[in-house]
Amino acid sequence: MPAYHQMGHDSQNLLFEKHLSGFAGAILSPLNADEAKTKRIVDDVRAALTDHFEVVFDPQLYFPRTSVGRLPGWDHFPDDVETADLTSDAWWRHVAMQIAEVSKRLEVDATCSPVVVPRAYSNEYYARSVDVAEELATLVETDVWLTTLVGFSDLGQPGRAEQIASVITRSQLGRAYMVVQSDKEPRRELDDEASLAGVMRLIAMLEDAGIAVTVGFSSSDIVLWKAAGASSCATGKFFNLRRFASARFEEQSGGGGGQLPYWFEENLLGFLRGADVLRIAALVPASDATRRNPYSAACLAAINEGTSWLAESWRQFLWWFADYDRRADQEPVNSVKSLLKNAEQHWVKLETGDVLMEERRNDGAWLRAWRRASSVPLR
Amino acid sequence: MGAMDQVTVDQLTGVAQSYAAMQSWRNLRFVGAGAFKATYLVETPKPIALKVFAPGAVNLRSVREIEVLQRVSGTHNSLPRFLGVDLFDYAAQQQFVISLEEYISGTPLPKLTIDRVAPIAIQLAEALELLAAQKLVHRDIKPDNLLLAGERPVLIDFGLCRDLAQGSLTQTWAPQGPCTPYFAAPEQLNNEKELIDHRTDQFGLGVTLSVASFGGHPFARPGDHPTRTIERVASREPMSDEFIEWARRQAPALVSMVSPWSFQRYRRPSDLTLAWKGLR
Repeated sequence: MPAYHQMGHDSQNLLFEKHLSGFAGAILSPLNADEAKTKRIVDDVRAALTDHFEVVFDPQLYFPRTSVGRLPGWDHFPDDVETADLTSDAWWRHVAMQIAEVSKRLEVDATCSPVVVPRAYSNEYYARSVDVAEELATLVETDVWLTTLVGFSDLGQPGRAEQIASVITRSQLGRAYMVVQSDKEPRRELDDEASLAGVMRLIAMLEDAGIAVTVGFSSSDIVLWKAAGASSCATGKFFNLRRFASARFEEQSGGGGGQLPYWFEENLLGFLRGADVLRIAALVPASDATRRNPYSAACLAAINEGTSWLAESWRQFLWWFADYDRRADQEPVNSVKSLLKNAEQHWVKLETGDVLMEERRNDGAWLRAWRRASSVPLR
Repeated sequence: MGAMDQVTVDQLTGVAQSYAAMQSWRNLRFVGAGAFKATYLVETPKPIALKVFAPGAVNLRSVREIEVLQRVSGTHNSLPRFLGVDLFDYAAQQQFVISLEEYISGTPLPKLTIDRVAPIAIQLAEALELLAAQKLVHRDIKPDNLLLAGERPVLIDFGLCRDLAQGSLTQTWAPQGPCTPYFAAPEQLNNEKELIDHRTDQFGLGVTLSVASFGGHPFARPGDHPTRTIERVASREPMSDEFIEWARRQAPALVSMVSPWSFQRYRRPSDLTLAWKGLR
């Protein structure tokens, strides 16, 4: 299944770009636009894109007490969030009803169920997530994606993926929207082997049980999630830099953000600053994906000329993401292992060649954890 | 001191006899007694199971059991028919709760040849579908609670039945949830409350059918004491190789039913029925 495009700050125009047509749908966020503007986006999508393009609404109540952007102005945002009892059935029922109303007015194809980021990722929390999603499903005529918010470090514990899968598969819904929460700082990759393996195994378990998983807020880690069997992944223009973390939501209240351009190179599975792109050229050839990427040439020209290439860098990443999601569905899973192995060897080559990146910690070290995680049996 | 310590079975029998006389029922026969109630057979043209609850034993679980019986009565041939509940003042001293159900003239699930398993399993899977639709989990499926009347299996004793739409009565600190350990699923043995759902009954039914047809517990190894087998289930060890080999040839659905984690079992109640019908 092709990738999904998560809408960020003023990114709706990217939906209509010719070279970014590889996405299966858009996931709308209430953080950056009010309901009227979001409805216009939906209408524009309906007018310009085919029927097969799916429009999904994510109510984004993850951090309700750290209300950001335009979220507090939406009807589904609870007025009593500061004092609400988040264990109350009645409270969640009311939230679900409000979201159902909003989804109906937006005329979206699917709605992600609401969840908050918990203090602890207990089984009880997941049981609540299932109950709320099932409740929402009774209120909307569209599809409901069961939002499955997982703690990255929580999934590093033995048996945790199995427990979560057992609770989530209680649901009769056919789709899950998985969000991986970590405290990883921006521009760093997830690198805990046990946790990576835990996320991958959970994806595989849900898929085996007949729940199609879309992993939201993805970045280059799409290669792991797809290797685990995820039906699709979702990303936005800023997810080349950011992860799903509370810091990200606090940061986003200023709007936009992430103002440095990064080049994505599949041969390194890494993001590079402009000067680094030129620095590595002699040692690590551009990947086939980079050569086919219609935005690479414009980025490279801007890097050479010293002009701004921020907007082009987003496009370069988004094109690669959609292209990779498509390819991953067609290629054998073992190709991921060779992809990771080659990437690590390329980083070793750079180290041997004394190529020092602009960012000191950009050294490919995470790839060892990725390789180990991808070797853990999924079943 | 338990409720039955305070009121003897003889006293409950006196209550049952008095109640039966009031109804002009002549033939009353003692069937058995549990921790909180005694059961009698009333021999009428359509035999009745008369249950007398010990005073003080009518707790929330008893009330829920009666509510469950009222809800499921008549919905499927493999679920008991509930006839009513009564409050009976006995000897002007105490009030007793009496419930009346269809009396199932059957035997606890015996050893079954493999060709008899599938028709019985299909009926029970359909009954579990109906329970699941009402968010009910029996939690105590075992041979003693599966009576076979001819070729009709009937699931009885809803004393441990959990209504998922209502709050749990089991404390989180309890090391084990309510169950008969030998037939219980890992999530019951470990008191993993949020993992209890229709797939918990699937496990209990799977073990029960395995014992009846394979001749042993799917997780038991030769020479195992039952407590060791229970430990194996609780710690989610693999099933025995002998069982897997047998089940894959004879009744493949059993392997999924008794999988240690519920996500590995049949996700939808209807999938279990279809599996036994050979359609899935």
